Amino acid sequence: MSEPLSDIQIDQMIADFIDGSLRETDRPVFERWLKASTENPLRVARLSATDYAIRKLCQDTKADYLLEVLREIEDSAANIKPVSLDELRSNAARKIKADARLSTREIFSIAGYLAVQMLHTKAATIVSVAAAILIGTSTLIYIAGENNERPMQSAVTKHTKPQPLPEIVATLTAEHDAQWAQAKIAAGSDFYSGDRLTLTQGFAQIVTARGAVAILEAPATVEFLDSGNALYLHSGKLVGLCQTESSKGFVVRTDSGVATDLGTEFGIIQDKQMTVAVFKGEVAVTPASTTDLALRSAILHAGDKADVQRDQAVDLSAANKLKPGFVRSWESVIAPKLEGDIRYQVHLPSSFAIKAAENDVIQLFLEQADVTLTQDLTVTQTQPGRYEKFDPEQLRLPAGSHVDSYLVHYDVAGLDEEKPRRATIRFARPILGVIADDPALFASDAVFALPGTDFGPRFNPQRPEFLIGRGLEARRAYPGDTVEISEDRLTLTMELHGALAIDQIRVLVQSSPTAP
Amino acid sequence: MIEFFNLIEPADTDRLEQFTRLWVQNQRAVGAFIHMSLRDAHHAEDVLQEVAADASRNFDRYNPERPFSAWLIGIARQRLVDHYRKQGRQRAELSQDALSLLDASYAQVAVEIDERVVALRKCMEQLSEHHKLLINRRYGFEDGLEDIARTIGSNAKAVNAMLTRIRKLLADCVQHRLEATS
Repeated sequence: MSEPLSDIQIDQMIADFIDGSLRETDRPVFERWLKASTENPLRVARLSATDYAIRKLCQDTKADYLLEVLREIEDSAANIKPVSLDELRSNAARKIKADARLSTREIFSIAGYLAVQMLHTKAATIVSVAAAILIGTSTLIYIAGENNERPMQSAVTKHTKPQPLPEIVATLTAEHDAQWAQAKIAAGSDFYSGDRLTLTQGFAQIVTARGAVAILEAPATVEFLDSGNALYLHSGKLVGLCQTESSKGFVVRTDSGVATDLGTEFGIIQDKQMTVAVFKGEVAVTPASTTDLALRSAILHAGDKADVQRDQAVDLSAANKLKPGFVRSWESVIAPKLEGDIRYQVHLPSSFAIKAAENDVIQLFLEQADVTLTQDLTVTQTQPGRYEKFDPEQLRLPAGSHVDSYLVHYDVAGLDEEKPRRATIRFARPILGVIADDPALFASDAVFALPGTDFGPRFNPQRPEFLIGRGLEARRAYPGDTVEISEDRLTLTMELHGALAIDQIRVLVQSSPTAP
Repeated sequence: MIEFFNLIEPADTDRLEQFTRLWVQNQRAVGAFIHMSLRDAHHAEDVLQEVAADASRNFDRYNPERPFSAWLIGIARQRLVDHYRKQGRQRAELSQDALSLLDASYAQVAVEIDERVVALRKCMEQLSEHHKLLINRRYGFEDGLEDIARTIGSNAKAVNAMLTRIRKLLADCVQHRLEATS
């Protein structure tokens, strides 16, 4: 018979249970103790509730910190160029709509961005707006988004009395060798209900307001509908990817019928009829009909293909004859070739602060394509070679350089474990520069990061508890991180450890000469 | 065509307002219940949002004679089961009996989360600056134990033990305050 547990042992066991680190051997002991008295589960619940409440209160502390930062910014606001309030709202709305399910961390990031922009306009309500947004809850915004799709407007109108908010329903996030029938279409373009686009050459990636990704292959014509999660494909080839919960229900309408995503990856060709092929998950297809309202939806499963024609029931006899030919992922169009512990990610998260975008492997994001530098840019390295130190070198890429910006991000999943990861990225075009030190990373955010992206706070000597490193320079004390640029400048090889904080490298690659 | 997002119609403003008001009053309780049950903050937020969507979709099924928090927690229980099924693992690898006991206790404690937060605020004020710093770094910025240990010249095990003690102190303080006020 085992000895009775001491109070200290019980407390440690409860703490381990709450942290999810209860050892296998302790589980039966914990379970026996739990059942021994009705008071014991309550003891666990009380400690667990305290744990939860501490987290909530610490978020308030972060809010205080943010407001301190805002006040500092306010002091230097005179140096910031003015922007319009419309631009402010448009940017904020775009950001919020990129993912209707916001975390508190994301609200922080938006609040910070909003407040900085408010300072630009010299609005007097800066702190009240920031505070109002800070105390708002992500879930309420989510509900608001589900019901009226104007979450940001409701959060802002109470305080700023803005003009009607432009309804951005989709954004062109990337393109490859793309030519458009319309002028002034480029990566970053926002689209509104009723906008119609014709892609005459190349590929384009469009993300809806709810986060569904559509990869268009030329020739194709699409029209944007008023829902933030629907497109009208007039003609051409499209692949839909719905990788987030908020994008579930993505609808592609055509003259022949409607395809509704049920959490999946699918391809559509619209010609004289609509051909739908499902690669993963399920898709509901419904033929368009002006006469027969009884025409029913059919559910297609992974591996199925079906032709959908107007006024005709869906013919499932052609199912299970999936043909290749779709470009199923943006990676196969534009992404560099990857080897090792690395994964290409389509969605740029709104926060890269520590633990906001953790993963078990290194992640690679395309930030911006075809950026022309308007002034010299400080980078950490430009030449082939193997590097183990990442001190700010004051090397510069000259103004006028055309670059694509990729962000390498490694934030080890879980806490405190050092997990070295090795990876190689082979780009199609030469690497012009690598940014791996904190000052240059923060400085280059203004050029390459999406507005409002949270990279975590900079080091503030007054608040050492908020120290978070971003680049690789901190590794001088813990050797191991290396980056190597190959002689032909096409390959970047890295070994990252990720034990202390996030590791980030911004890789600037020469833009495609065919990019507009 | 199937309606996948058949939520409350925006035009039904009375019901929307009624739902929103009830949600605001009770979301902290159901949020606490989910966080306590799940422990992973990101997944907990996802489940909370699913509960919000479920509740708004099915608001006409809510019986106003029952506490709204209990109704929400009922939905949350089902969503948690779905979550664990999707994850393909058993929750905390405890027996169903033990989990049921915990569920009931979590629900009981969750409905008084607002009072707990108020009490905790007072209790936090009593912590030393050093302990406040530890708590802020761990819970505010979710810094790793090693990271915290390096900056205070300690080791991860010692930091973990300190945090366990601080949490216990705070939990006892909160309970004491709640019992004193009741």
